Amino acid sequence: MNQFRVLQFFALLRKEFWENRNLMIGAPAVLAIVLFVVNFLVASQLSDEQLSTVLGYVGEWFDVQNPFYTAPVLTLLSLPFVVVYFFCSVIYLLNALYHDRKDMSILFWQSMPISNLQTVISKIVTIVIVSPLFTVAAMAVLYSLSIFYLTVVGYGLGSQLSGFSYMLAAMAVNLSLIYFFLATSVLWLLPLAGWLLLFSGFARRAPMLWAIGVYFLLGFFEEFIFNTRFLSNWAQTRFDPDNFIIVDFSGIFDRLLSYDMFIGWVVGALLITGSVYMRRHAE
Amino acid sequence: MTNIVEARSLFKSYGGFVALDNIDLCIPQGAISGLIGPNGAGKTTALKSLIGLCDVEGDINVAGRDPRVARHKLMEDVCFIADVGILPKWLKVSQVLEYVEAVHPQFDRSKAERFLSTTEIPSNKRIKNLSKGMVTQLHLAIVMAIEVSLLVLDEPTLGLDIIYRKEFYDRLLNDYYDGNRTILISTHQVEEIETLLSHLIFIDKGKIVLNANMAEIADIYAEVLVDSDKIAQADALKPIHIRNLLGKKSYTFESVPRAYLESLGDVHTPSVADLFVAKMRGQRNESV
Repeated sequence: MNQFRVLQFFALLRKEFWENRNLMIGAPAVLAIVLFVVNFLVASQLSDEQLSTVLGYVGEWFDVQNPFYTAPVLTLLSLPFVVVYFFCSVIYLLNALYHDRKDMSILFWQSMPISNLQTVISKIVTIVIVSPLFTVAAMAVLYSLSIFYLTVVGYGLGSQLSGFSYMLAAMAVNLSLIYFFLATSVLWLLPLAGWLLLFSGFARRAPMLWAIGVYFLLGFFEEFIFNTRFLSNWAQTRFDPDNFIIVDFSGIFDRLLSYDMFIGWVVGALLITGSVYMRRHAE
Repeated sequence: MTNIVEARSLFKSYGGFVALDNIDLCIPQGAISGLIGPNGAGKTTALKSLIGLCDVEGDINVAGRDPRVARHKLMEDVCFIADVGILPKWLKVSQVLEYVEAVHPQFDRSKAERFLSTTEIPSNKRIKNLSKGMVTQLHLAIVMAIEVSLLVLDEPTLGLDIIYRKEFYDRLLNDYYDGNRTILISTHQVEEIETLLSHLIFIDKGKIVLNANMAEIADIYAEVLVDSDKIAQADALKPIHIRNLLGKKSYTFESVPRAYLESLGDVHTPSVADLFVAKMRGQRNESV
């Protein structure tokens, strides 16, 4: 791949950011601000004595723990960001091949020397690699502000703050853990991503209704004709918290290399190929 | 002269509606061709099929490629402007330039910026905040800065006022066209492009009604303001169209020798607009 093609692909990613900056950076940034304000309000309700006790406990706890053990606890605290990320990703994928058909700007995009495959791949790369970066960046800002605030308050109260440096290490581990969790979760859910893209490229209106409706229709026919529930069981397995929520690096890499992940990639690749076909034949 | 576009037996239908009915289309390199037809004639379908934006049956060769196989490769040699509304509204002007510069190997950004500096388009504005005329100017600036062999324009000035329309075609002719590039324009507003054209294609109900260069048209078609005592003779020559004009009858003839027609009255080459009406309406009488 020559240098121009690489720069061309980066331009596609940049275009995705321009178009979806509210979903990619706006939503996690607003969440970070809301959480910081809530933390601030809660902290301001505590007496100095209560605050000192909490800070002492937190500092001590982080002080004695290896950051790789404390990071998963923070991962659970990151849940709101994870929920917002997946919510925004679903909206992104449903609009990815639909919105420019609706406003006719597809004619401009297709007048450029960019293939439909490149377009679709740029959307997958956006959701797997680019978008989680902004979520993690928003979390990093929240963490930094929170630590700064707690340090100032703790210093004023004369609390033991040495554990806070370990908290910084734990947060760094946590941020990278969340990044890989989000990225690999999209890969784990690649069949869902492909399904949403397929209907984003197919539907003339209401792609979400199509995506949900056809899924239930297929499940209904499967049960009616074959008296089985393979489709719904398979989908449920993907979302089963035991399979889905992973809070350590080894679990993430185990999942990446698993047979189930491979099957998901094959199904996802087929559905994504279908979405490229839809894009190619969009009129 | 070689053809940059060669299409044979193009067929396209939407349900029961036939949009292209086995048409052949050849566009010579360096020509400014007008694809002219009424609304719903098949102009947009024909243009889209030439640049791979529409599934169509038949053989197509545009700039040496089949647009259905490698549209993105073809777009390195072909530019396309559709209706004015197609630039993405959420993009800023500067972002459009940045994007096209990054993805199009033939784009010269400084050229586009020079063009834009002669307009009132601010680079930090989003496209949704520009007027229709400005959006068209922006799109034209982009297209004029791309070095391609074929420019396809589908109703590019639809919805614009007369000032923007005139400026669009002036710039196209004076600043863009260099004699080597090929321009294919579709419109149903015949009058505004007829002075530009070197080649004329009429399309109606999915069929090509006329395909000739302007010199051939002057040879083949003639309009005669027939003297009142020569009406019977004129009728006998099977005109393709008759209309009333200033108290006289104006006859349009196809492939009738001029020397003979001159004996019937004043002879001239019909305007594109008049020829268009004549070909579309056949011999239906029209009062002016």
